[in-house]
Amino acid sequence: MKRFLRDNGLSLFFLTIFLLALGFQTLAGWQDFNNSQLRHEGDALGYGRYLLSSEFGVAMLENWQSEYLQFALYITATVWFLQRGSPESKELDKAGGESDEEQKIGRHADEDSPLWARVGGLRTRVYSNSLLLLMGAIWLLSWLGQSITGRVVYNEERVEHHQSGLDYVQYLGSADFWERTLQNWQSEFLAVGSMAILAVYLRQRGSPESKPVGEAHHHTGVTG
Amino acid sequence: MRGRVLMRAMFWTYTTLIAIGLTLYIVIGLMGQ
Repeated sequence: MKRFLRDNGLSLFFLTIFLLALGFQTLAGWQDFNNSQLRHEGDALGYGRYLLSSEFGVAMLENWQSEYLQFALYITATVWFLQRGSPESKELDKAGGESDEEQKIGRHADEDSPLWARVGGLRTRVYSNSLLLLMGAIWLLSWLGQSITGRVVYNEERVEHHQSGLDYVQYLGSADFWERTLQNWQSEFLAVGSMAILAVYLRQRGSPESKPVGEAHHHTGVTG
Repeated sequence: MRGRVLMRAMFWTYTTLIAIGLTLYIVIGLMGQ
């Protein structure tokens, strides 16, 4: 048990705070929704009904999509784009997909390399991009979910104000959809970009996201 | 060996949670709830 906790501390820690934050989001969102219903002389919802509502769905998924876009982009962009001095960047002569030897693919694979890295062909090509494929799929599905639930919420509001609802394609062109989308994207892009450059000059002792404290500013691709 | 099985369990815990979240709210949205 102790060893399990040590070996999986990072994923367990984030799983725990994810569930806590999500739980409290449901409580705050429920209260906020019902307050707004009372102001508009609408019906309050029970907690279970709110959990299964598009109101909660869109609030959750608009944030999911931007996080997964952030990681999918970061995974892809860092293959080709470099940043001198950044621990987030590869060394400056390593832009691109690198050789099979560097990537331990096919006949360059180790004994304990994953099967799909060893076999070559389509399986190795898929496995070579599998992290991006999954993160990208989660991004697209959560963005799809945001658009579907966002439209339901938006149309409910329009009906309350005696306006007709939008069909799905109209909603995709609406200011509501793009404001929800872009307000999340901009914050991710800023955070990632600033992390890449701030980590050139600043350090966190002991973090693999940082260079060693005494590493020179111009050294690239070194993690501590 | 047991440690590796538990690592896999963490992998599937995350991917299952994400899959449930995505499916549930896409379905709820499609039902117009």
